[in-house]
Amino acid sequence: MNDLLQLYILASTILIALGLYCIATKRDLIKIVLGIEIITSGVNLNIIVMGLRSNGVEALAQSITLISMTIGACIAAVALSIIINVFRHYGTTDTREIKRLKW
Amino acid sequence: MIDYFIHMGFLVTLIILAFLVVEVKDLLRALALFIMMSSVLSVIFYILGAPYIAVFQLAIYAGAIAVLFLATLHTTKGRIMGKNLSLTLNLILAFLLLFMILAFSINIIDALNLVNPPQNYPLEEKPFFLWTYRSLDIIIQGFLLLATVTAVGAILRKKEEVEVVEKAVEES
Repeated sequence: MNDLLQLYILASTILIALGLYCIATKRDLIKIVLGIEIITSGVNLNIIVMGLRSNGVEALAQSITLISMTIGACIAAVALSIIINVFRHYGTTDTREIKRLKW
Repeated sequence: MIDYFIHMGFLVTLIILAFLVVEVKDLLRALALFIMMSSVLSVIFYILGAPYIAVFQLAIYAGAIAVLFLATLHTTKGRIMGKNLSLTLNLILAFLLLFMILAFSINIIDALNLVNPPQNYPLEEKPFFLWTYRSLDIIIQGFLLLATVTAVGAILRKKEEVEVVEKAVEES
């Protein structure tokens, strides 16, 4: 049980690190939002693992994960609509070109 | 012991898929891999003993968010939608889909005794807590969704034609 817990915590940490790496290094806005979603998935996995008991996952942890999922979906919706707006304005989703083409 | 290796296998698959999502250059393929990653994560939630979260993970991440990403890809990079996926990726997709269907089939899991669900699996008690004492949560989530819809509507609204009004003022 303890080994399993450590394994899951390690996996969620790797997921969060991968998402941060994606946000820091990628230049496409859609890829950056994918990185944010990977971070959200890692956080959800961490919450569920923290609520893991011998008789299943605690209901409170499941409830918090549900809220976290809703927030993740809302973040994705708003971010993607901003990306569409940026594309309408600049004609690209590459952050380098957006930086160059100022208002 | 075999449980440990199954959990480990799922976690390794999850991390490999997440790495591929980050590193694959074609955005459509990255999105397909993200859907697979979300599905594997939902299998993990299921075998950990959180079936409701598994269903929501599938519905929200592999369903709704994936559709939002597809719509954005279609709007911003319409040209990549016509590309055919390679044979290797198709085979990987088909294999993973088959694997997920097998993993989700409760009868097969029971028959093979691959994953032991946690003892005293309280399916009767969980929905009571999850749905009865959550009125405040549901109000907050409803407000959040409403705010999101309003924000998306405000961001994507068409700009008013100011120039026409300015010309009319100048002419008068």
